[in-house]
Amino acid sequence: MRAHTIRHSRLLLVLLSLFVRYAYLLYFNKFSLFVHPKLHIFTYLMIACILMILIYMVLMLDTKKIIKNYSMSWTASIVFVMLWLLPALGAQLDPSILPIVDMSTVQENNRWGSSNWTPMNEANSDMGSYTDTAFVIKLVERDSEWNILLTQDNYHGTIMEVMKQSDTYVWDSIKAYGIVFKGREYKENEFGVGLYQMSCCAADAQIVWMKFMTDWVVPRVGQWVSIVWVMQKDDQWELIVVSNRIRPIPPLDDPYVY
Amino acid sequence: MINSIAIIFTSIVLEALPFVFLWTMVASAIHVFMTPERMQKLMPKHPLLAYAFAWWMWLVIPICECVSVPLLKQLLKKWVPVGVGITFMASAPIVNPLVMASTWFAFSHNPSIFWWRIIGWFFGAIVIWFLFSKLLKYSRSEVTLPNDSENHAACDHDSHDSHHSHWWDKFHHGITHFLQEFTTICFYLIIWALLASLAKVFLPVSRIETLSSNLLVEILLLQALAFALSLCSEADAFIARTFQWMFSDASILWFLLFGPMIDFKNTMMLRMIFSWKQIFLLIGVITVVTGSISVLYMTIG
Repeated sequence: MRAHTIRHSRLLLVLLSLFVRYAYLLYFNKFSLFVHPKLHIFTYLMIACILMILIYMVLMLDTKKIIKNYSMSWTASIVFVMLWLLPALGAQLDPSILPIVDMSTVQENNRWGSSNWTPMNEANSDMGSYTDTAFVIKLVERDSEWNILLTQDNYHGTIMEVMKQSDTYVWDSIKAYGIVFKGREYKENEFGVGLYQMSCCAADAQIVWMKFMTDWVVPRVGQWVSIVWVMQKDDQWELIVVSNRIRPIPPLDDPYVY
Repeated sequence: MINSIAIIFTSIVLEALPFVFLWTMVASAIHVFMTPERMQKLMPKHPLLAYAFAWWMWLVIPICECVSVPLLKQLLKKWVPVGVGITFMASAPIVNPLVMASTWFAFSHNPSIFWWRIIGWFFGAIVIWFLFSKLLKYSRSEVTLPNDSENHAACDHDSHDSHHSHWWDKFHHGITHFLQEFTTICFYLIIWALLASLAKVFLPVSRIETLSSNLLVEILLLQALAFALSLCSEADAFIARTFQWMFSDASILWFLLFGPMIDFKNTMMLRMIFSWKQIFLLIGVITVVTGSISVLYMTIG
């Protein structure tokens, strides 16, 4: 009986640890660092079910029958240990292990530079119908200095607009932030600034970035920066971006674009 | 690197667990209220209707591959044709609504995988039945039906259903079954998530490019993993998606079709019903059929 009681309490701990782990991440707004917000509804459902089962188990705790029937295999212990060991570390993945989507190529063929899918493909097709300039301008957000603001909330839509309607936005200045990368084929004066993009969870994250050219010092790879750039067209009438003001910033708590 | 492994591992587990939890709950409820005996009563007497029944039944009965072999055994004991049983076993883990929902969410960015998993089931199950029956006949190998009493290979608890007449007993039994199933599935999920996160971080790009350029190697690798680790079909889509960046869609489709139909755990349980020769025959047939579907997907998908 004593052994069964211990196993029973172990099972209670598994459920309890599951509940605490999810509740903690949700309460402190850290869950989105691991799982896309579109899937949160299933987590809420699970937490509600866990609560009900826990109440049921506590109510039945002294019943001999249930203690016998809840005897657990050793796998329960592994689950319990792993649930508690699930680390709540920093949110930043090593960029070198992630696929890359170069946003600078969007204008050339209306597709992303990488063959990897991103939800922006959908945005791409959607935005294609917005050809009216007056309407397009309303789609971008501007600050008091009339810089176009590129934030995590408007990342996809703004880049799509700016790159596709480049004639409208040429000589416009754009303010953004992100982590600095360097592509394999990039020249010395070229670098990328981007953010992580999540489709479902952090395991399928990829980097979405813009390629910049600068006559100044190229920032260190991995550095988080705030950048203001001006849209220009070169002799071949291809879109280029020239970095104007680059300023280091502390890493973002949530570096993801959803 | 350790931070990346931790993040990837955590995200896979955190994302998949709610699905596994909820689906296991529903499956346990149905496990209690829909017994094999009741299913057999529902089974049409006409052979063709019985095949059609077996083909479609799993659309409304969300039971993963963990219980497909014990159910197959029950059906065979009741003199259900072997072909119907095999169709049952091949269909069950792939097309129940919960697995389909998981696959849809996991591959919402690439719906072709979802649709081809359905197509794979639709044609695969019936072809597997046909080939396996023909080969059994050709090899003059007869299936010896088990005559022992209840032997619940998948459930180590003293189930089952008919013993629980009162609703409270059924409820209690459902909770017990759910908790045991959930922790078992969690265990496999955690192992898989760990392997997936390690693979993602430590497999160098050059090695991945080599693997990707050799379709045979990547298919064999994924199939070996699908077989050896006996991943639950309710969570396999999430795991498969994490490998999408380094394996082709065709080999991932093969993984999603092959794994639920036959794996190490099911092979061990199939020994209750078939001889080793018959089991290897079945594995061979499933490999060829699911592989052909994946090749077809690669060609026209």
